Amino acid sequence: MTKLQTRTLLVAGLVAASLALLWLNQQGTLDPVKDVVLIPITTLQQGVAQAWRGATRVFQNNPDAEALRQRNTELEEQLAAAQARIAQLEENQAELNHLAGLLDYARTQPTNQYLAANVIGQDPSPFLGYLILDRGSDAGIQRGMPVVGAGGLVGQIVEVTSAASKVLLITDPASAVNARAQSSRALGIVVGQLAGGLSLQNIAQEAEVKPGDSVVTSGLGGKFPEGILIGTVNAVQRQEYEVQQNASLTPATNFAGLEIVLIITNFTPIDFSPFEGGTP
Amino acid sequence: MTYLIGFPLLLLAAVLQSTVLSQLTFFGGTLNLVLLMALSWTLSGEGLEGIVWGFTGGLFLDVLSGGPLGASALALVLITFFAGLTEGRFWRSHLLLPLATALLGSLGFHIISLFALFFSGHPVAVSQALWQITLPSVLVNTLGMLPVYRAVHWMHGFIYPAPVTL
Repeated sequence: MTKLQTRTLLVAGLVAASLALLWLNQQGTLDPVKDVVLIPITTLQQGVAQAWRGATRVFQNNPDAEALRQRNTELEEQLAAAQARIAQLEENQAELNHLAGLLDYARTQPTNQYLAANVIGQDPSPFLGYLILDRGSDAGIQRGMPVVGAGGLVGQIVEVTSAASKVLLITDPASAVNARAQSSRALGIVVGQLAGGLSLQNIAQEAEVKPGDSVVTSGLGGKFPEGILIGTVNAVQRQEYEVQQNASLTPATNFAGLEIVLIITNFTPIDFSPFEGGTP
Repeated sequence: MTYLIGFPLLLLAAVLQSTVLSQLTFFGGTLNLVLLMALSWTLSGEGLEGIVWGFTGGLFLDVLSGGPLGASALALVLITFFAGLTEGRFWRSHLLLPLATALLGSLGFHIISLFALFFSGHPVAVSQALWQITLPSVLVNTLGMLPVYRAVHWMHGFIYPAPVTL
């Protein structure tokens, strides 16, 4: 058998395996396997994420890296120990700042119960918007729980393993959140856009939506609690001949800088599946 | 031996991609370290192993992703297979080969990924995805290919040292 034939056979086998995995994934039969596989991988992710955060803090607060290296040469041991201590303190300070922001948010919604979680990874695909958190079913996390940040709504838990969970961000194109513009009370659906934007769609033509309006969750559909800030209108797309209008939103949350989020643990999404079968 | 070294490296590359590299974007484009490593190993002369690297690395990416399991694996298997077809047809030590392979490989990977997302029911705005994400990612991957290829090629020389004849 020639090399090309061997490779072709191997490719055919692996393509068949990939297609089988895709099909099994669609059926949901691979979820237990993914749970087991993810446990060691998320442990590694946690370590890498912590190391990366520590490293970025050192260089963000020491703009003259060259002078730092020169000083480090002169006083190697003492400076290295002092910098390690500084990095740890700055990490603690940054975490404190994050938690203070989250606490401020939590105080605005006193009826909710929250569990803080660290963001340990993002979706490696540039087309998808998912986060991986370091809390899972061991901490009481369940599918469907909403996730918020200091700014507002972040997303919803869609997959849970024992020690980690995946969050579908509201900026993912597959995400749809029932929303309301606060000033006009106009209802719509916030849909994620590629590259991190948000679009408020299906707004009634007669509704008065204007730039600067805050958009919050409406509570309709039962997926999210009512009143969580989603974003602010920055542009309205309205045509007289259209039945509906749309608006572009600036997200309230800075998704690029998320390190710690809050999971709302006392909210259970409403299951509408019994109503989806149609009346007999 | 190759897989003993390669699989942990691919796992680390996938984890780095989800923790560090996903935060480093260039006009919306991100570096796909797993893709570049699989392509580099293939171009180093190990076509068959490169395909297995592609499948394994793709699986690691899929497990960490919210997308369908098997999508990245499928894309990387096909990309590394076609990259392996350059063996014996192009001058391997020329700089253009890894760059061209990274460019076409990134484009192919994104297109196959978009198809997989589409067929699994995920909403996809194809033209927006190609302009806003694929084009800058192709550029980033092409630029990133040089250091990755050098590192992987060095590792290949370490694992498979060239025989010395007297």
